This record gives sequence, C-alpha cells and structure tokens, in this order.
Amino acid sequence: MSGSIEPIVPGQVIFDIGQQIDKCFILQKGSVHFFNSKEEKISGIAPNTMFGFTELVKGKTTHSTKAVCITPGTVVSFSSDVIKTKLSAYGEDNKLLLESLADQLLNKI
Amino acid sequence: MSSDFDFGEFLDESNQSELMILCLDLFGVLSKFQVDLNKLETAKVEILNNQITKNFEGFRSAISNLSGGDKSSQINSMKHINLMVDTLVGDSKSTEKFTKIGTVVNESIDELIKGIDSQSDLSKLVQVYNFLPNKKEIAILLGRITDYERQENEIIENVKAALLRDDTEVLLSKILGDVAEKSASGFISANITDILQKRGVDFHIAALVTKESLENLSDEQLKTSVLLMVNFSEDIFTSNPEFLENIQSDTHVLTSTSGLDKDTFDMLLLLKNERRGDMFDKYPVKVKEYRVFK
Repeated sequence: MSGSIEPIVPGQVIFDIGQQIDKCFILQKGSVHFFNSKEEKISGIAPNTMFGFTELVKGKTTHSTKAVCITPGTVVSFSSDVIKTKLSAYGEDNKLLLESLADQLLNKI
Repeated sequence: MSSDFDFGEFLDESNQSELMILCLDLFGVLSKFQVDLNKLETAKVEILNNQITKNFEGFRSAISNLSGGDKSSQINSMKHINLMVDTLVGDSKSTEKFTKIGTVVNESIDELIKGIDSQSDLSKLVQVYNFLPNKKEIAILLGRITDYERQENEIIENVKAALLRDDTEVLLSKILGDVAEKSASGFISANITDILQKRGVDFHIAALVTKESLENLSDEQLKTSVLLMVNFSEDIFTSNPEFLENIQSDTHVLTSTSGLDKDTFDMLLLLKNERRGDMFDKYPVKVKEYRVFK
C-alpha cells in the first residue's frame, strides 16, 4: 500500500460522483475543485491538502463529489485501505467527532 | 518491501524538504561525468533510510537498485529523483540546496556533452536537462531523438555539436526531423506513413511505427479503425498495474514515445473493435482520437 506520484492536467476528473473510493489523495502542486451533481462548484483546495476520503469517515464507500483538476500539478495517491485501517483504530468518541466534521463537509454538497 | 503509506508523516512539510535535500545531493553526485562511488553510496543509503522514501515503493526500488557500475540504474534513479523533486513541497533550506546543486549540474554539462559516446550518455543528459528549470525544452527534444535509438556516429556528433551551441533547440529540432525521416525507411513504407498522416498523425510519430506492429493489419483497418493517441504519466504503471495489459488486449500498439510533458508517454493505438475511448475513462490519461482516412 505504497504511495504513487501522479501528474494531473486541467480538466482531468480525478474521481467522479458514485465512483468507488479506492484511492485517497494529497494535492502537492496545482489546484483541484469539487463539484456536486448539478455541476456546481462546492469548494477548492490548495497544495498539501488531503482529499477524497471524507465519505469514508461516514462509512460510505463511494464519492459524493466530482474532483476536477483546474491548474496542472501533482497528486500523491494511496490506497483508501490506509484510511480505513486508521479509522478502525479510533475510539467511539473520536469517531463521533470525525463523523460530525464529515457531516458538516458533506452537508455543503 | 512495501509499507503502509504514512500520510501524517508525509504531510509534514519539513519531512518533504528533508527528502528533497537528500534527493538533490544524490542527483548532484549522479550528474558528474565520473561518478564518485563513495559519495554515491553515502547519498543512496541516506535516501533509503529516510522515512518518506519507504512510502514510495517505485522510488525506493529505483534507489535501492542504484549501482556505481550500472549506467542504466543511474539514469533510472535520476528519472525518479526528477519526479520526486518536482513533487515534494520544499522550504528555504531545500530551495537553497536546489540552487547549489543547479550550479553543480550546470558545471557538469560541458564535460557530459563532450563525453557523449552512446545512447545511455544521451539518456543521462536528458535527465540532467530535465532537472534544470530553463532546459526542459532541450530535454524533450533530446528525449525524442534518443527514442529512435540511432547509433550512427554522425547523429551522435551532430547532437553533441548542437548541445554546445547557443541555438540548441533549433538545431535539435532539425536533427529530430532528419532522424525521423531516416528512420521512416527502416520502419514502415511511405504508403503507411501517408495513411497515418492523412488521419492527422504527426510525421514524427508516424515514422516511429514499426513493421512488426502492423503485422496482421490491413490498410483498410489502418484507414478506418479507431485510432487514438493516449498520453499518460509513467506512474500509471504503478497506480494502475493492469493498464498495459488492457491496452495490449484491446488495441494494436503502433508505437510509443516520450510525451511533451515531463515523464509522460504518447502511445499510438488502433482499437481492435469499435469500443471507443470509454475504455480509458477510468484511467488518468489524455486521449486524442484521429479522423477516419478518406
């Protein structure tokens, strides 16, 4: 479950709504925007930010947003099993806190 | 040996900067005409002991296989270092180191050019130019010339002369055109090149198509089957290991060469059936479809 470096190019769909979450990402260079099912932009991220994992915190297995590269750059990708393993090690209180944070993010969609 | 990706450790920018500095040190050692084996071993061990290195199996494996007596392992490591240095987030320390190593690399170039004697010497220079921010165009042109794997002394001498001139890019473009033209006769007939060009394929690419790749293909298939140019990063081989296998089962690979963007490849593919570009939807690739021959 090692990481991979992947260049991204403008317009590239990194993941789409409904797609299985098999990889999570860290944006290293460039920018990525997130869109809902109406193709409305919900948010954008800058480098050194992890993304593509929020739904896992809520126990979901598919993406609820579409991530699109806006400016060229690089992402580091890694298996979503890494996040799943970390989450399984959390205590109930911490899980509730994470879930409420995930709720706040997902409710924006 | 692979390990779980430690994203917490990776997200700490000081850790990334630390690895970048180690990578730069090793690149400085490898960029010399005569590689100092002791310095190489020290720099190699430092990278292998770094915690972030363990998060990237492909990179770790390339550095682990690096050997003073094996030029191809050195070129492969330089390629991986270039990608890693481009990816990692630096700080003032790594920026300072980059400037310092940039000077070292620049100082090595003349000796590297004068010492060009083989394809691997050219491949090493491709990585050296790739490292330098203002020499990327030269790296791309030189990379494309080396893809033709021409061993003629005349071509190597022309490349050497071009690299020592101020108008290097213009001269390399001309050499690339000449090499493509010369190579075409050894590869496929002018008729086939013509079909591909009429479908919109650049001459440089059409000339790279080999006779072997056209075995069992009729002119009609070449004219009407779906013809695609797929551009992808070399990382796809680790992120999507099934990629190449799927390409080979569903398409005829006419040729492949380095892409215009750093560390990317262009692959010219003729689909075996009418399945269109959707077979690439799940991959991080750029697809261009050519028109049908009329």
